[in-house]
Amino acid sequence: MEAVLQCQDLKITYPGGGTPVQGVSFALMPGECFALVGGSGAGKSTIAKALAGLHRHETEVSGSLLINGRDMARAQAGDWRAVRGQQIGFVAQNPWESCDPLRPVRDHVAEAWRCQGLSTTWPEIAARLSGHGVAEAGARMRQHPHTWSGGMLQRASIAAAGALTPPILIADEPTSALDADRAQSVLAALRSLGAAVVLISHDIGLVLRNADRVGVLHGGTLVEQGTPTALRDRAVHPETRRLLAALGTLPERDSATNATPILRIEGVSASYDKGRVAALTCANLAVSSGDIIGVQGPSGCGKSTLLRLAMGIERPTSGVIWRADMLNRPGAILPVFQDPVGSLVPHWPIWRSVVEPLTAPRQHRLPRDQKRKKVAEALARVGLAEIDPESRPSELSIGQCQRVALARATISEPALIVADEPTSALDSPSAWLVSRLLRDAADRGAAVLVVSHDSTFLDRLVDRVVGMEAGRTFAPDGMAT
Amino acid sequence: MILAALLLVFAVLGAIWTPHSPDLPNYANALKPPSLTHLFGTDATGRDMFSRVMNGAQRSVGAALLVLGAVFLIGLCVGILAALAGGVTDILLMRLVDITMTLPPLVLGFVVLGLLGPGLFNLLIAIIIGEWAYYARLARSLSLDAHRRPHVVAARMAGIPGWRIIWGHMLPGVALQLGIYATLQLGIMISIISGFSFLGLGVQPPAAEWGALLSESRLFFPIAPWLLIAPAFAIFLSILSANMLGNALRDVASPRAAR
Repeated sequence: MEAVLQCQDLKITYPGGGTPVQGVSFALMPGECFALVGGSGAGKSTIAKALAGLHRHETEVSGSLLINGRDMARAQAGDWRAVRGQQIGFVAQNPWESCDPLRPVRDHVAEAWRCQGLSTTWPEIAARLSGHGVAEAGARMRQHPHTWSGGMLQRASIAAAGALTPPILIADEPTSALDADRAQSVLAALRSLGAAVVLISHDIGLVLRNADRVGVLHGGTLVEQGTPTALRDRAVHPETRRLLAALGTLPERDSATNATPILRIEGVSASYDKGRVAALTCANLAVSSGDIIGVQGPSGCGKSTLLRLAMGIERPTSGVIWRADMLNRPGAILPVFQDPVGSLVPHWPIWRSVVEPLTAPRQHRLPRDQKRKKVAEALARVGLAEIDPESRPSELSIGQCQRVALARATISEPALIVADEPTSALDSPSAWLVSRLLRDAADRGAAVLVVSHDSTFLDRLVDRVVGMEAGRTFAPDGMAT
Repeated sequence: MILAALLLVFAVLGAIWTPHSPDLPNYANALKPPSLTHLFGTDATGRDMFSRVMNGAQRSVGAALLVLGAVFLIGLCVGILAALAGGVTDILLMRLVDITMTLPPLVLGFVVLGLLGPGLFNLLIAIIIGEWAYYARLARSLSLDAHRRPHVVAARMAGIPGWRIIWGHMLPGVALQLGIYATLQLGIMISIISGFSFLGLGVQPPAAEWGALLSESRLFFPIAPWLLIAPAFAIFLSILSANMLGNALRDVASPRAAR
């Protein structure tokens, strides 16, 4: 059987001379799912773009890139246009960004035919969407992308990518914006097309569960490849072992070290746009010191609103939020955000961001050398002892920025740490480290309230999960909290 | 960057030293073509054109910098105040901005100069009245965005006082973005000042200014075209260097985007 896609010594060079990818060789057989996995900056997305001819025209692709026997390494834009859609489909990471927000979803799918000069009918599009599990597709496809959930819209993107039944699909982190159940169903939809799939992901667990073969990228080079079983059992390269270590669990702990709640949210409702959009409806939550509570639910279900209410930066329209005295002092509740780079002041050296909670007026004033010592301790605690405290956030990786943000969130020993999707921008090893650091903070007595769609992360970290759906909280067994 | 620095040096040097007197007439030397003694030739009253372009730089570039400095400061203060105060203050300030922005800048300039009389100082006041609102609107939008940034929320949660959040977290970013916009406007501002001076509403004779020099020289274009070329080229170079400086500043401001 002949490979549908074959890379031989693929090298990608940026106009400035940087080579994010070099010496990458692999073959994709018909119907096979080959996953490329690696940490941040390993070159995954650069390869994905090059495989679909979506790289910037100044970027040089050398080596051999055979698509159904035709070398596309030095192909021009016109050649790629003929190949895309017919030979290669592309599914991007963020379904909302992939769609024109001003046009209904059906136009987004129809574009796959139109851009090749072909025509289609609305019933045909509705049938394709139904085939990918979109309920009431005929009516729903007339809606605009923002009214669709991420999982449903990603299915529409898959329907568009597979419209002309291309033998190859490139999927660049297609499930990173989705929770675990939806991720699994979206991957099933992707495989159902029968095409060979190049699956790009930072999630080693997901890749091992779903791919036929896995390639591990590190520093722009394919350092190891094999079947999931072979990699899991006989990993050779240190990067593969590092990624696999992220599948490990944390030690067992006694949950709810203190049964007296420090924060109680009772029957709380919240709305936006002068009451026209209900964000929360009768939500309940109780948090005690040392608790690690996960909040899980689909996009737009009110998770982030619940966190902002817990932090006290938004007010409820009804219901009661009770905080113990220990939470009413400034700095008692500290946040960790989804965007690690934006969490740090861009023009400050990182030590200044880390030490800031200790400089609040009601904190005990520390001399400069004491502050420096505290910063060094906090950075060491998050595994960044070797980093220069004078570095700016732009000089660090995204994972390092999140660890600096965690150092800041824990330096003043807050009573409650509120984390909003803290691992969504991180690769598996960094996500594992974040869960360990949050666990450490809880072990030191802080309560941790964490919102995440990453089930692996929550399963590893939290004592209990509060589910959310359409603004309501419920316990995992389905009982309203 | 180098071009902008050279232009600044040229303007500062022109204020303290010129090869010949920029204002003293020498009728025996009238309308001489460019030579080693007079690099850009001489005008109708025999004044050295190079010295006048040099001396005029302080008024063209200096006045543009002064206007931009003033509208930058007014816009920054009004924008941050509106964004952070919110409510009635925000509504009142932004309606004032809306009203100012509805007035055509040229008409506003003519009205103010008509009321106050022509002259460089009055011209600057006219431009500031017409321009501050654009900076205030931009500063408000940047401040609102900065106020929602995660590092600002983290500082608020840590109990950092508002003035320290404004000074340390918000102001540098907002001022930098507004500064880039101002730098990109520098060229336009030089051309506006030169334009009004060309019409005789800005710098008054015998003081030299690039727009005024263009106006004085246009009558002699058929017999002495070099008189027009020198100030026109100076205006062209200053606009070009201001735009390049703005682009360079934008790259400095977002190192990740520039990578």
